[in-house]
Amino acid sequence: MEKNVATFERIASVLVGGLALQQTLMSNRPTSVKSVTGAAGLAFLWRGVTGSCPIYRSLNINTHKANGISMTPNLLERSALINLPPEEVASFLQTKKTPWGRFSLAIDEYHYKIDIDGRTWMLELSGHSDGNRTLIKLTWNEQDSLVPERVLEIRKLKSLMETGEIASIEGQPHGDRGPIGSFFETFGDKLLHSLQSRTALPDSKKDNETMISHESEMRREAHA
Amino acid sequence: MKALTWQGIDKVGIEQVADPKIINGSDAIIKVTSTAICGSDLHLYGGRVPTLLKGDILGHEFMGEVVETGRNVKNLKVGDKVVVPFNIACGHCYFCEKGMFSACDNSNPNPSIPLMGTGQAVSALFGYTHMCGGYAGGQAEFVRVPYADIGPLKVPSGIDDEQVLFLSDIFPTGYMAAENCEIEPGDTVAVWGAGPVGQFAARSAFMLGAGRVFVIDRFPERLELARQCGAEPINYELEDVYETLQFETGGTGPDSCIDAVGMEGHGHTIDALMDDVKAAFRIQPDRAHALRQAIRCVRKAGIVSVPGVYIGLIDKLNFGMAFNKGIKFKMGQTHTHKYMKPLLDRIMNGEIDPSVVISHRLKLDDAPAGYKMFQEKSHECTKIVMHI
Repeated sequence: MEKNVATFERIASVLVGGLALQQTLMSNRPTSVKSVTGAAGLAFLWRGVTGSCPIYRSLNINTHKANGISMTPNLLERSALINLPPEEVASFLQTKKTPWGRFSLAIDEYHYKIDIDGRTWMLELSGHSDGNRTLIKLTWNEQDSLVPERVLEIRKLKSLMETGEIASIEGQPHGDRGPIGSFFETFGDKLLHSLQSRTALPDSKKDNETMISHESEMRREAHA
Repeated sequence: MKALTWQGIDKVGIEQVADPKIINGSDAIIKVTSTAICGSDLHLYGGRVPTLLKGDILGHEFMGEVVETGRNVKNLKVGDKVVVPFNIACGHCYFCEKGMFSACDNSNPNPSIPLMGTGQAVSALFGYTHMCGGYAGGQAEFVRVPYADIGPLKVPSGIDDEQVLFLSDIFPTGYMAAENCEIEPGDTVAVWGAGPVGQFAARSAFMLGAGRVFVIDRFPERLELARQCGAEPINYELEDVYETLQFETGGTGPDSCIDAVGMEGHGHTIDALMDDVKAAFRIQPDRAHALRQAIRCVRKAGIVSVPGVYIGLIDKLNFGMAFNKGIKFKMGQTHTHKYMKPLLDRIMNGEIDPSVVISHRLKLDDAPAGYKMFQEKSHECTKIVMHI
């Protein structure tokens, strides 16, 4: 089945579909209303999970192909602005363990490398123009356009650097979830991460990253 | 422990759940002594905010006694009496260091969901859906508080809970709404909504130098409460709000308008009717009648301040009107941490008695009935506090 729905829309469809089904099963509305909301819920869920929309197909719309930077959440998740100066970020990377293990110095104190899920990633630091913050970017050199799920955890690295810990609600108390709540609790994050991590990057983004790599190369040469 | 959980649309209940435990070194466990139902809890109660799950513990206005601290907590000790801000902030990110605590970068463990909805992930909140972090709320006997050195405000042990409980949310929220109005001495301010936030916004506007404050609502007991602080009530079921405000200001309009209603606005005009239909079919959760009216009423180059909660897309927004009048908008979740200490000082100085907004005092076991009463605005319900 040809995909024609952008990732952002797929995630939104899953959320809307889940919400509609939840409301269908839990509300006291008349059966006629519940049948409409239930059908809509299933349709949205199907659209989100498969990434295929027959209405789009009949109108010759394909937002999957047009999946741009603004519609692809994972693109935002592979860089982070750390509220620490570059020296402190570099010191952290050289001395502390991160969510992915330890980084090793690649070329200089501004370039590190790490193996994540079998791929070698480069982490590049650059000082923000305010002098107080550091932009970190994770890039990789393979042509493969899949983003490993664990790379999305760059926000955890930022949190660890800034606060010394990672926000968590694991194991906290809650009441009876019921079947729908249990489903979303168990599979919600997995579904979200799966959609994000398997998004194909648009060609323009690849070009951009090639350019970034090229710029990095030039800076490395300049350092040398 | 006992906790109030969301069970479905318009349904909450008391359940026996596990006690909270320390997860991170900066956590503290608080034994809740008092908690309140907020107007924004009603958005959850009605199932209007996505990513709330059955069994989630609600409640973001609470205070209590510290019973356990994580290994990294330095500012609190067991036995301290604290009020806890409703939003959770790390205290170390760029936004926290600038005093913009509700924009905290690090407190939300589920940033992917708000990232898609709002472009950037904002801070987590207690008991307010998984897109806002999924943290268990404080309508329970115990609650885990992350970043305990940053959020909780120690209060004198002898002070009555009802004097300080609202530092957790509605007092700072009303105050920030008024502060956002950039009030100059003698200014005229109009406040939509005479609920608890509207009451504090009106009182804060006077504190900040407003000369006249109008409060707009339809419930007589709430308007009477506003009148008691010196505000001039407008019952929109009896008067035309625009005409009244223009008449009272010589055709100029209020210098600033505060929308303390938010997404569940009510009205009798066509826009409000269309909002009601969409909300009934869950097509659009936000009913922005009060916001549209505030934009129409405010003076040219005035300010519209929005403490009322909105979560989604709004159609029929008179943005062209706002543009042509040169209106400034200020809004957002409250940077509660920033306001708690200065407002505690105002309470201790006797400048304000926050407990005036309380209409009902219940036990936690009675919370489900309290939610129903608050939603229906029956029994002249303005604010419900539960002592545990």
